Amino acid sequence: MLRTTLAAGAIALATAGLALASGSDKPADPTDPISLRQHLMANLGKATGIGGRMLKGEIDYNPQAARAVLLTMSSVALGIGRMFPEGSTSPDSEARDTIWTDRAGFRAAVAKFIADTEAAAAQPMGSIDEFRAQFGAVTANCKACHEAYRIKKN
Amino acid sequence: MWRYLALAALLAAGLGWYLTGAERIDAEALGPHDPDLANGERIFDIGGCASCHAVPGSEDRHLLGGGRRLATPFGTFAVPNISPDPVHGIGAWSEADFASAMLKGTAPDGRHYYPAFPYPSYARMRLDDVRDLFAFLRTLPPSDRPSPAHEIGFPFSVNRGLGLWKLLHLSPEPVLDMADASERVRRGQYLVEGPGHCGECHTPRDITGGLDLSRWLAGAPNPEGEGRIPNITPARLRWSEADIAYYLESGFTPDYDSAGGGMAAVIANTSRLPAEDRAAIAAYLKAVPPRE
Repeated sequence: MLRTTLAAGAIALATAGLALASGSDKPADPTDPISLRQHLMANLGKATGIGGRMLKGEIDYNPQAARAVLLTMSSVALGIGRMFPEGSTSPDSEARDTIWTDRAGFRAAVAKFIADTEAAAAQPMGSIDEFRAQFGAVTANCKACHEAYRIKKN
Repeated sequence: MWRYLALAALLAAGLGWYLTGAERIDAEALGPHDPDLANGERIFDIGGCASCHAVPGSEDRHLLGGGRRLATPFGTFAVPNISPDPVHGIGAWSEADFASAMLKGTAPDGRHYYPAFPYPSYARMRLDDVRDLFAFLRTLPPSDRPSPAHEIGFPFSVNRGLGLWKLLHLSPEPVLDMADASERVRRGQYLVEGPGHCGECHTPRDITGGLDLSRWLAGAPNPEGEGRIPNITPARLRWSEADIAYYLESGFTPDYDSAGGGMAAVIANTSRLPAEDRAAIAAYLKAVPPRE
């Protein structure tokens, strides 16, 4: 019980300590797909951070928290594909034009992200090594998608 | 009088021809070497060879058939086949040919390479590392994919002009004077300034297309188009050494943002390095002078 409370506290602290990504420090604008996806990606980063900190031993491993991390990733995967309508660009947006010029490739990347995160979130996560394998499989999607469809602006 | 002028013109032409010629490394200068294949692979990974030379779309980072195209303001460069295929790759090259390419930017036929091939950085490599890399490349699978020609317009198409460019920008000297730094920082210096060729993207270029070393690692426009390559001097990069090393291993920033664009390909290389090399790179990046 104490361990779980400590882990939850550490997670909360770690989350609070994370800097926000650009564009997401303003409140989310429900009518603006750029604002929505920036907030979604910022949350994804925070959830990933909780998983990464557990794996690095910076916070205690907690199987429920581990599953929550993967379920958060899965939720992002389920929604993100709809957040890049044609023409949704701005000077602040880091979406690369390949999202629209390579629509099929982008859709395939999102489909893979959905499949990988749903599969990972359903696996047993009793040990940190089980989580490590699932975390590695899903975070490979971050790199693959950012390599092809994201441009760093700052 | 005319005879002197003619002589002067001839001397000037001779000097120009001499200055624009290509240097090679002599086979006799190499001496005996017992190649270390594990070190060769380590150099392959820090050198990022696969990022440009692996066949696009192939899962095999060791199939170096080339074929990527690099669009730059100087023209479009077609990445060549460097697999051990004797016809289309470098299977027929001697070790001296390879060392001349890496350290002098000179092709076996005596022509200059364009610095889209980052030999101005590789020129800072130790000869033994180059030789180990050559031995490692020879163990990789051959590809019979032909190397297409570059598409470069005048005046950049004048190959001998690169001889003058090399006089300005090709030197085996380190960028920073760090003779008194720790061994770890100096290892990082070697990896970053030499085989890792980090400065080729992270340092701005001057009007001649060479790196502006007074703004070493201060960030630059993205050579592949949109966006910017970030400043990674302490002026802007405020991460801890552990953060930098973890980024080079996982691609995750301290905020757990994930590396994108060309850096994702770099992480695919640095993630394969021994942890001590990532730590050395991190230590060096904390030690470089802050630049804006």
